[in-house]
Amino acid sequence: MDTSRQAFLTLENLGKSYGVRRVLRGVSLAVGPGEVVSVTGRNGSGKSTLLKLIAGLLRPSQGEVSLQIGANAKPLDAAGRRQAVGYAAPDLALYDELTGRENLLFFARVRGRRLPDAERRLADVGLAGRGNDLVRAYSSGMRQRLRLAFALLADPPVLLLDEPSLALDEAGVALVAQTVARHKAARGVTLLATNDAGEAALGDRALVLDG
Amino acid sequence: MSWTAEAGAVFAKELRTEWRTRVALSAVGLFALASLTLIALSFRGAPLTSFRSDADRALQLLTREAVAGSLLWVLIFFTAATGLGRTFVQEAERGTALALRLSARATTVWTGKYAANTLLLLVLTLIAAPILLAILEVRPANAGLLVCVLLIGAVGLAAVMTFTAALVAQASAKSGLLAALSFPLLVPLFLAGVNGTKAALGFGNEAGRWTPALADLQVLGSYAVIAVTASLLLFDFVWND
Amino acid sequence: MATVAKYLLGMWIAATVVLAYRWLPPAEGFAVPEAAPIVALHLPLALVAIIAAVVAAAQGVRYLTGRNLASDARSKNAAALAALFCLLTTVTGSAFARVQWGGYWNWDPKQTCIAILLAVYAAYFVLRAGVDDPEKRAAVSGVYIVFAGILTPMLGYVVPKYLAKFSLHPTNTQFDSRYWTVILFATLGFTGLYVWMQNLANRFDVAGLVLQQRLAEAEEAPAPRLVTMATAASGADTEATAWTTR
Repeated sequence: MDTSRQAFLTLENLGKSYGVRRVLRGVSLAVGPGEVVSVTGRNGSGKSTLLKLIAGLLRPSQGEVSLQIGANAKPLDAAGRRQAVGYAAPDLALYDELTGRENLLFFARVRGRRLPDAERRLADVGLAGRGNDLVRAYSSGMRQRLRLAFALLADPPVLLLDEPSLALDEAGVALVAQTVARHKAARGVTLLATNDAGEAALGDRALVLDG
Repeated sequence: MSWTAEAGAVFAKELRTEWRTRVALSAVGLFALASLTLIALSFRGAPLTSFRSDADRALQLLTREAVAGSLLWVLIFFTAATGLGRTFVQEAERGTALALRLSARATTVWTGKYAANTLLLLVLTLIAAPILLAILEVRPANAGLLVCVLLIGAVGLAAVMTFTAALVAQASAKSGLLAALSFPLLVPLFLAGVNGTKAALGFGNEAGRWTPALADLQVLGSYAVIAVTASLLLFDFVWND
Repeated sequence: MATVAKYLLGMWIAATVVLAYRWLPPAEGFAVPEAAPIVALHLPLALVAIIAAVVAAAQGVRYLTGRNLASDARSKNAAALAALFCLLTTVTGSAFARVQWGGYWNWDPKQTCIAILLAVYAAYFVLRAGVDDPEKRAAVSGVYIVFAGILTPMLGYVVPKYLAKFSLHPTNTQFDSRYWTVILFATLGFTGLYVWMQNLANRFDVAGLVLQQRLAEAEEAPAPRLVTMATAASGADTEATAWTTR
């Protein structure tokens, strides 16, 4: 990834409340190119919320998310962040009525991009030859692999993975580790939200959300 | 004996759960009210040409052209309310909205869904209208005008329905909500649409001329433009947090 | 000070109503001249209903641009009051229509417009009741009220044209100066009533929101900490201030 596309992420006292319920208390963090941060904590400690806030899917109740692509660029607004990140989470559903390949092609086209290497991308996540099946027929493991492919679709500078190894077999877990390593080698920014110790070990640092 | 008791238990549970989700009931109630109002308005709204007398008016309201015009729009409204909501509700229920929000700009999402809905509505209308007219044994005095009125009307109707569907998809109790929310906003469209349709069918316009319906077409056209513009401006606020 | 103002307002309205029925001369040309004064109250009610509707839409816009839940509360209260005044307008109009023209509902254009406005507010509150998350609810309500605010003015132009045959509202009424005085008094009185009720409801809701915020902040949640993985792997937990300075 060339330096103009390297991401610098800063969180300043980021928090989220729903009425009386405080889901996330002030989080401050700075992440630079080539870093991997694991976000750990009990169920309900706000890991998924944190990733959604960074991805621009939720509005913060307090604090700020600042994502710059390129060292001296202006920070992106929420719409910019949504386009700039690669996001995968258990509640991210893809279209059941489309095939795996059709899903990837659609999400690329809707971003204004062509996808000449759809086959390679499917193969990279272990779905070679299954691209022509409807997602409805996929197993949960296959869906998770497709989610990974979705996250990597735009070759994003920032990768936000929420429980990426969920439903995956050994080969799948290895795939996740490999993906994170590749992204790190390309000087991208990765945040991994997880309960699993093995997954958490993929990070250089851990942000622990519940003491 | 126990069969009755068991059925009775289900009945009691139904009443209890319905009472606890009274909100859903009020949506259905509003839906019924909207339907009644639409029927009343479509039968009441008079053409812009004047009647010669009250008896004349009473007689004319019951002619087949008038009835056909009113019924057609009632049919179109219910078809739209049932069929055009699915597009956003499905995204919300299946969870695919998240992936779409991450990939596409808000305006492209709305425009694409709006175009699909318009096409669907047009196809349904252009199939249903001739069948209805055949059932009522009414021949349009000006088929071209009829198609124009239905076309421009559908364009505006689909816009409001598509936009309102995005709002309804956020709510938990969805039945009847789309009709209840969209109906009050659609009144100008219905008044002009019914009127134009009646004129196209020959009501007060046996010669089948275009001029009696020109004002209607203007209203329908401006309505469509306003609806589409408002939708494009406001959609992002409802689609993204 | 505020209490005095409230009492003054109450007396003002009472005086207006009394004035309307005692002081105004029976109107000529009306079927039941003694019932005419209700018109002097009916007009101001309609006016206040429109003012409230505008406030509701304006506060909706404020929420969408500022995302402050207080604006949403204000919008909701204005909508509720607009619905109330619409209802009062319809009721006074209906009562008068019964006396003057013999029927409660006549599909008169203005009657129909106000009724449709009532339907918009009914739908607005049903929509609000259907969304649980406060921020989502505020966004959806704000968008609906603005969308309705853009589409409903067309009613004022379209409905009179199409329901013209049913028009009952007189276009050439000559009100004498006494009527105008009462109408003015009533307008001021009802506007004052509306402002007071809106203000009261707003203060209540805003207080609720502030309370919620304080409760959320007071929750004892442990602060997040940052740990470098190498030390964690070696078994010792250290607090690492690993901010990357730029």
